[in-house]
Order: sequence, then C-alpha cells, then structure tokens
Amino acid sequence: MQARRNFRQNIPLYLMLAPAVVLVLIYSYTPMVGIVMAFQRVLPGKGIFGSPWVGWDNFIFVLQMPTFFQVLWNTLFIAGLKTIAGILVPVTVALMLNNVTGHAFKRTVQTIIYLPHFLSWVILAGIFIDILSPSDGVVNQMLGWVGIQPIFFLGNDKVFPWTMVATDVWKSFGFGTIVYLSALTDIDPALYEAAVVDGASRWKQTLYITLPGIAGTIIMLTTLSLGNILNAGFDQIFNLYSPLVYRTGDIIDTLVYRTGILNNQYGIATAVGLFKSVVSLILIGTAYKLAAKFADYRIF
Amino acid sequence: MKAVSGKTSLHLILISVILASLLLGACAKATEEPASSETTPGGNSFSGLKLVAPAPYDPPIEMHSVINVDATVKFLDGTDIQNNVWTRAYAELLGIRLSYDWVVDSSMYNQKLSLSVNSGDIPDMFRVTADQFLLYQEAGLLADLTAAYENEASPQTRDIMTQDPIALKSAMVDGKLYGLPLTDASVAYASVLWVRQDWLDQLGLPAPVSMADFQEISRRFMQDDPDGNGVADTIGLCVSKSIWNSSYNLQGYFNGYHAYPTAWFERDGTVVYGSVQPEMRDALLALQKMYASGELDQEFGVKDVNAVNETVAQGKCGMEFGVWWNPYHPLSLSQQNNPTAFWSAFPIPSIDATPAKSQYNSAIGSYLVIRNGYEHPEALIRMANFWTDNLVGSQDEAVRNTLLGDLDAPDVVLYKYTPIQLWEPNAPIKAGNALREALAKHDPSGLDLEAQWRYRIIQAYFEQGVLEAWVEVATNGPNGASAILQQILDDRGLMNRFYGPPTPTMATKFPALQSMESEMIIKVIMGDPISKFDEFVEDWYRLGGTEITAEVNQWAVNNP
Amino acid sequence: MNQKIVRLPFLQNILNLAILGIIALVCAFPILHTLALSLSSAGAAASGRVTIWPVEFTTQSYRFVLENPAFMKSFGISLQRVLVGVPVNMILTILVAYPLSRPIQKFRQRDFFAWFFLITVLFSGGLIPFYMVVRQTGLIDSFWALIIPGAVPVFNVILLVNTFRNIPRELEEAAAMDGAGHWTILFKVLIPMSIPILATLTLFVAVSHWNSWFDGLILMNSPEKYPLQSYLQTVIINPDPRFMSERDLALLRMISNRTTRAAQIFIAMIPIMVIYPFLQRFFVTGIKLGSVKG
Repeated sequence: MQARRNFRQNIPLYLMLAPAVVLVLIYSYTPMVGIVMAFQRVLPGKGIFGSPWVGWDNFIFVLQMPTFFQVLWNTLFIAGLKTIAGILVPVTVALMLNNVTGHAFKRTVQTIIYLPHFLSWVILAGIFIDILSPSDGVVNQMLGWVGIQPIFFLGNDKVFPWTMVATDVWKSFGFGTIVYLSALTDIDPALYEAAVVDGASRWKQTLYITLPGIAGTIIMLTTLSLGNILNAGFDQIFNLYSPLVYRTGDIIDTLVYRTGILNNQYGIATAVGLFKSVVSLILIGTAYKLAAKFADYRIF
Repeated sequence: MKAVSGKTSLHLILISVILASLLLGACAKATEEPASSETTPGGNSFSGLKLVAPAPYDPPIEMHSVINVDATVKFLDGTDIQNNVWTRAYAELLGIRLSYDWVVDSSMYNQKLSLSVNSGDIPDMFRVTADQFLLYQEAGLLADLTAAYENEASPQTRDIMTQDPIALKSAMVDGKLYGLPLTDASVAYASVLWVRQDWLDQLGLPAPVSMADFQEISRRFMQDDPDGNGVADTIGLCVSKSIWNSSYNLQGYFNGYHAYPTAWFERDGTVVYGSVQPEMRDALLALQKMYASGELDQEFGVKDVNAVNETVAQGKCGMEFGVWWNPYHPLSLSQQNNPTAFWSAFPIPSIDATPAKSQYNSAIGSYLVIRNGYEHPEALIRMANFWTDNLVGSQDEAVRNTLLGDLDAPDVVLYKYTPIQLWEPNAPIKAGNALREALAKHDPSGLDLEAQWRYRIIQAYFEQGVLEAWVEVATNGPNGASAILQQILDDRGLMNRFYGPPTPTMATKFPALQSMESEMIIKVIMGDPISKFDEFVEDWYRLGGTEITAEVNQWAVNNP
Repeated sequence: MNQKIVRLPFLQNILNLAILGIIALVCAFPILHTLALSLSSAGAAASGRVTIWPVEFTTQSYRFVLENPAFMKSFGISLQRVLVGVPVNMILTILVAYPLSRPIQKFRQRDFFAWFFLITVLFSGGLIPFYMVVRQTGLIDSFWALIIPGAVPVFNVILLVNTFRNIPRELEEAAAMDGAGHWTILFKVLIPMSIPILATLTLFVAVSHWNSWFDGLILMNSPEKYPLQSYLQTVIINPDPRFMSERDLALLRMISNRTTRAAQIFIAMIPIMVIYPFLQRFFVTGIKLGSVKG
C-alpha cells in the first residue's frame, strides 16, 4: 500500500523523466549494442552481428604494441595532472574573482578568460611553437629576466607533459571558473552576515564558508573528470608533439591514430573505446563510493 | 602524408589542364579521331562536339554514386551536383542516369563512405582508398570487373592503367579485377635537392655534385650571409619534425649516403629494411655535425611544416630535400619577401663515386569500384573510356571547354562534378621532356595544349622578366626538376620493394617501431651519442623487426 | 547583493586585481594575435610578422569566408539550431534534474535513473552504430538530426541536480504544505532559485550547439544543409595552390589558411560575445536567496 501510494505520488516524476529516458534509450543505449564489435573483425555490410568473432584479439592487438604500457602511463600521467590542475586553477580564480567588488572589472575578466575556449589547437599550435621557443620565444625571454636558463618546452621530454598541462589549463580554466562562480551563488549570504558579526576576516570566510560551500561542486566535477582520465587530449597533443617527446608525450589516442586503423578497423577502435570506458567506470564508481563514505556527499 | 601529397601532385596536372584550356586561343586544332558513333542529333547539348562514345544504354540505366566537393567546387547558374554537364553527358551519350546519394566535403569523404557502407548503404559506383578496397573486397561487397574490363576497356584506358606496372596488379585479388586504380606517377615522390640558386650565385658557389659540395654549400650559406642583411640568420638545410614528408625531408639526404630509411630493398638476395642498415650511421654523424655547427634550425625537432614554411617565407632557408613540385608549394612562399628568390633542383649528391639513388613509394592512392550485384559493372568501364578517349591527350578545345571548364566562367571547374577522372600518371615527365625539347628548338608547335601553356609561362620568365614564373622554370624549364625525374626513372631511383597491405606483425608493431626510429634519428642529430643508433637497431629486431622482415620477404616471394 | 561582505584589505585587494589582470592579459594575447592574423595579408602571416597588430591590413580573409552564398544559409541553419536546440536541451535538463534531486526516501528509483543517465557518458558504441540508429529513425539529412540525438546533456543535468539539492528543503516543504505538487515546486520554487546556474547552462548549450561541426558533416547529405561551423570547416583552403582554379590562385596570394582560420574563429565568436554579457546579469552572487527570503 505504502509503495503504491508512493508510486502514485511520484507519477509526475516519471512523466518528467519519460521523454529523456526514451531519447537516451534510442540514441545512447541502442548504439551501445555496437560494443560487441570490440570482439569482432568488423566486415562492412555484414551488420553488427554478422562479422566473424575474434574473442579478445582486438584487445591483444593493442596490448601487443611495443610501447603500449609506456603510452598508457603517459596518458594517465598527463590526464591526471590535467584533472588536478583543472580543479585548482578554476577554483582559485573563481575565489579571486569573488573577492572583486567592481562589477565591470569582474565581468570583463570573466569574459576574457572564457575566450581561449574558442581557439582551436591547430591555430594555437602555431602560436605556442613561437612563444615557447627556447631561442626567441616570449616566455623564455621573460624567464631570462629572472635568470632562468631557456627551457625547451616542446622539445624536452621531461618538460613536455607539464607544458601540455599548462597550455590545456590555460585554454579551459575559464569554463570551470564559470561553473564555480555559479556554485558560489548557492551559498547563503546569511552565513557571511553571521561571520561578519563574529568579526571573521575575509580569509577566514573563504576558508570556512566559501570553500565548504562549493565543496560539493568540486567533488562532483572531479569525479566526472575521471570519466576522461584516458582522454589526455588528442587534438592538443597531436598538434604539439614531435618524435623528440614520444617517450613522455605519446598517448593512447595518438598512438592509435598513427597506426592508421581508425578509419577502417572498427573492431580495434571499439576495443580501445571499451577499454577506456571500463577504466573510467571503475574510477568514477570508486570516487562515488569514497565521496559518499568520507565526505557524506552523493554526487548524483 | 603520402595520401595528401598523392592528391596534390595529381592536382598539378588537373589545374594545368584547366588553365591550358582557358588560356589558349584559337590555335588549337581538333586532332581527335572521329567519334565511333556520332552523338544523337536534336535536343542534345553535345551535338556540336566530336565525341567518342558507344551506343547508349536503351532503356537508360540508373546508377547511384557518392561524391566529395570542397570550397572550390562551384556551379554555373541552373546547375548543381545532381544536374550538370557530366550528369547530362552520361545520361545523353551513355544512357547512364547518374545520381549522387550524398555529397560531402572532401575532408569527410572517407569517413562518410565508411559509415554509409558499414550501415548497409552501398552506392552502385564509388571511389575507395587502398585500405577500404581490401576490406570491402574481403567482405564481398565489390563486383568482379575482369570480364567488363577485358571486353570494353579502350586502348587509351588500358594505356593509362598500365603506365604504372603495379597499378592493375594491386587491384586484383586471386587473379580477378575488382577496381580501376587511380594512379599517379610513383617517381613523383622521389626527392631532389632544392637550393637557393640566387644565393649560390651571390656567393659564387658551384652546383652540388658530391656530398662534400653539399656540406660546403650548407656551411657557406650559414656563415657568409647570403641574403646580405648583415645578420647571421640563415639556415643551411631546412628540415621539419616530419622527417619523411614531401618537403623539408631527410630521406633525400640519407639517399646521398646510399641509405634508404623507411624503405624495403633487396640486398644480397633478401629484402631488408633501410633504417637499420649500416649506411645510416655515417649519414647521422654528418648531420649531427651540421646541427652542432648551426647549419640546421636548432629547433627543427618541434617545428611542423607550417613553422618551416615561415622560415622559407622569411627568406632564411638555403636548401631542402623535397619532391619535384615543391616550387609550387611551399617554396613559392620565399617570394613573399624576396621577389628574386629562385630555387634550383639538383639530383641527390653522392658521398662517393656511385651516383645516389632517390627512394620512392608506389603511388596508388584509390580505386573506382562497383557494388557487387549491380547489373551493369561494365558501365564504369564505359564512363572511364568516355573520359580517356575524349580528354586524355586531346587537342579538341571545344570538347575540353565543355567537359573540363569554360573560358566564360574561369572559376567553375567542371570535371570536379564526376568521380571518374583518369589522369595520365606519367604526364608530368612526358610534358617536361616535350617542353624542354621545344624550348631548345624555340618551337612550341608540336606541344599539346597544356605544354604550350607552360611554354608561354617559361618564355614570360625569360623574355618579360615575370619573376613569379620561376616556379615553372624550376620544375619544367631547361634544367628543371622534371628532367631529374626522368633520370630517377631510368637508373637513379629506388622504389620501395614492399607495396602490399601491412603484414600481420607490421599492423601491431610497426607504428611503435616507426616512432622509435624518428625519435632516434632526431635525437642523434640534436646531439645524442651515435650509440643510440646501434641500440635502436638492436631494439628494432627484438621488438618485431625480425618477424616483419620475414613476412615482407615471404610477401616478396609471392609478388615478384 | 553581497556588499555586506567584508572587503579585502587594501593591499591584498590590489594584489588580487593585479593577478587577475595579468591572467586576463595572458588569455587575451593569443586572441588579439588571432584577430590581428585574421586582418593581415597572407604574406605577413606566412613569414610570422604578425604579433597583435594587423600587418598589411586586409579584410580579404573575411570576405573569402563570407562572400559565398552558402555562408548566409549556414548561418541561418545554425541560428535555427540554437533557437530550437537550446530550449529543447534546457527543458529536458530541468525535467530530468528535478526527479534526480528528490530524496531517495521519496523516490526510490532515483539512483537507478541517475546511473541510467551517467552510463551514457561513459559508454558508447562508436560512430557506426550511432549513425545506423540515426538512419533508422529517419533523421539522416534532416535538421532534427542536429537536435534530437543530443537532446539530453547529461553533464548539465548533473550540475543542475547538484544545485537543486543545495536548495534548503524547508522551502519545498513549506510549498508542499500549501498543497503544491511536484510541478509547482519545480516551477515556483526551484527554478526561480536556480537562475544563475540556468543562465550558465544556457550559455554552455548555446555555445556547444553553435560550435558543433562534426555532426553536421557526418549526418547531412549535402553541403547546403551544413550548419555554420560545418561550413566553416570546409572553407579551409587546400594547402596546395595547384588544387585551385585560376581565380583561387590569385586569391591565395592575398589570404592563407592561417588568416582564414583566424577569421573563422572570430566569426564563430561573435554570437557568444553578444550572448555572454547578457547572461552575465544573472550570475551575480547571492541574488537568489536574498530575493526569495524577502
């Protein structure tokens, strides 16, 4: 009885969900049937189940590439750093912007930092090769003023992953900043008012009110970004890497791209995709559990 | 890279053909043999033309195809991709009603085709890449064209198909023909040495013959301020991070040391891989020295082709190894800031008395195929014949204007409306030879339309001082690069022995081996010890090279 | 408004502003460089002489991109796409976020549905099966192929769920006491209190609709149906000048891919420049709770 009443009360909830559920079933779940291609040698025109089954061959193919584990590590390293920097920088900038009282300045900065999002890596590659050049690049000239030896940002394989992280953060932190700024609006101003009465400094307000106020958003965005942990940024790396930095800069997507199999061997491409999905699912699931257990926060 | 340059070199011919048809006036004569069946009168848009065509299908047949377009494809008023001079020609003269199921931007053609075919929408006639060809054939999607080709291919068509000896072979599986190869001259991918002639003259240096000459020129270009601006900003040899590209490459340099990186060739009865041969060692050491002395861009290891283009445009670049048509692109950029810049081509200089051989790969890029089950496979052959019989080597200006492009609308390039374009692979070499002969005799009369047009351009450089025309002089002029192509074709070339699909081990292991290879080469040049090369050779064999070599040798036995 | 908040001490405030200013400059430089590039001649761009001022000023690149009649058509399609796509996305986002933000005690299937949507972010069958489904549902070559398959932006749903959940329960409970049902609570309580995030999400979906190019190229069967960004992808000049007709060769002396790409980026940015300041009005901190409480 209880359950039925509950159900009847919740009919509007099902109604709200219905259109989206139908669309997602059709356009997201039906195509997932295609995951079986990861276990096939896909012959065009045979339909999804008509191609010969090859077991784990497609996965073995990828694992047998001589540099695969190095490349897997590179991918995790670059993507991991990007995830961390992708939290720290936007949160910091959002907090700084939050401390700005002049609206015009705030809005201008907010707009400008979002603009790099619109530049493509093709055009950025041309710019970065110039400004990061060890001989006449602007960045190294400035480092020279403070007595730092020129750094070969794009050609030194120890520095390259960090260069990727820095340039990626530069391009995308405006986006994250907007999300955090909007999360800051969730914080109840009454909390600040109370803090003011208690005589808390601005710094203490940030530490005890603002940060906890957006902690949920931080945890959520971090967890979601784990879904991309094996996508270290194909466009960026493809346009900026070179044989000099293959050792640390080659990622799964660039390696697979160079094999030239993407256009026609869908079995292997699907296997790589499935591998990434499973890893992401495990990481997200773990993060979900951890967040629920230690922060008592349920992401969704 | 290969696919891209394959297209580009082909397009050289395309654009020349068009420009020829546009620029030449009434001097053209119709030398084409009369049509085997004159076209039907009345209401026919082609009735005034002498065209070769078989009796049309009656009743007409339907043919569904697909096609790519790009930003440069434009239409005359009242026409579009489904209704234009080519669809009308096929319909009225051949009885083939051609329609396109989809039209896509060129950059997406392969992907869209792949999606379309994989989801079961297979056009009746379409163009595929070499990879797709093998895959679709294996899946049984392609029609056997053997009989159709045997019965219907015209002599002109056969000539074009066989100018490259491996072209037709590559389109056969178990002795049956499954597609018409669209070929380009393989030798067009061989490297030559390009040198700033104006700098050579400025410094009074002789033409490079030996590798020692080359090193000397490189050193002097770097040290002696050839551009005379008083700043030490010039570079001897320009190289990009893509060291096996069609420009700014290194294989041309290695060829001077009789080393053939990335190529398979026969040595002592077996096929070996060039990058792990001992000749590489000396070449690497010499390059290392050039880099250390500043003759190479100190950051070439991260510079892509666009970045090196900048160096060329700034007029800082003295030499490069690249293909014969490099003056058209990218070397023409050097005129942006130095109107008198002139690049000359030289055969690859040699380290010893044996002339160097330029390496090159087979250039078969794509195939025209018919869907298995389509009732009229021979229709493709007829359409191909229609192109070759009426357009290849034709002097008939009216036909060319109608089918290729018209004087009244110079930016409307008509042949882009059909996927069936069979250009003559050896055209650049033939044209170059004929041109040089005519230039020597000062008589262009025996030339075909395209060559006559080139003749005028070259004359414009010498007689009117039109500086932009240097690109034509450098490629087809008296000492032009196409003359070197003929030499390479005769006895100064080395064609990659392996031209088959990737062997099983190659598919998994080769990409990683290739990365190791370019990493090693660039790092050694930039100062890593030469022992890195020896380590690489060892690693190469250990990480799959041994198996790959065995497989390639097996393949070579089957493909003599 | 948050004016009651203590301001930073003077020096810290200056430092804060200075750092933000520098960050903004670092972001602005490549933009200015790109703008300068788009207004410079091909020769100047090719030889790397352009920094942040146009060299040999010309609007040729813009004309090359804009003069094609296909441009206006594609522009119209993109506009239509944003006008239709954004409401569809936003309505579905709101409708999904509400049930998922209910307490689990009240809506026991909540977690099931949450994972149901989340899984779609993680797993996909790849391009072929997707293409086949779009084809089976008859959307290939149709405008709706640009709207329907991506109608549920799961990432945005999660952001909105997060916001809905942070809204004090007492407000909803008070409304429920007054007899409000789910629909009333959603539209009368939650939405008015979530204006900043809704403005943010609107910006995101508008940008993503405006910037998408791949689906247009793949799902449309003729270039006349490309949205603007797909069209812009196709006006990249083939780097080989011999590919072109005589007129294009002449054009190539004036413009280059570098300048054209730069021009494309700016044309693509214009609508965002227009929308963003407008949406920013809704981003102001604290507006929401202050207004409801009063």
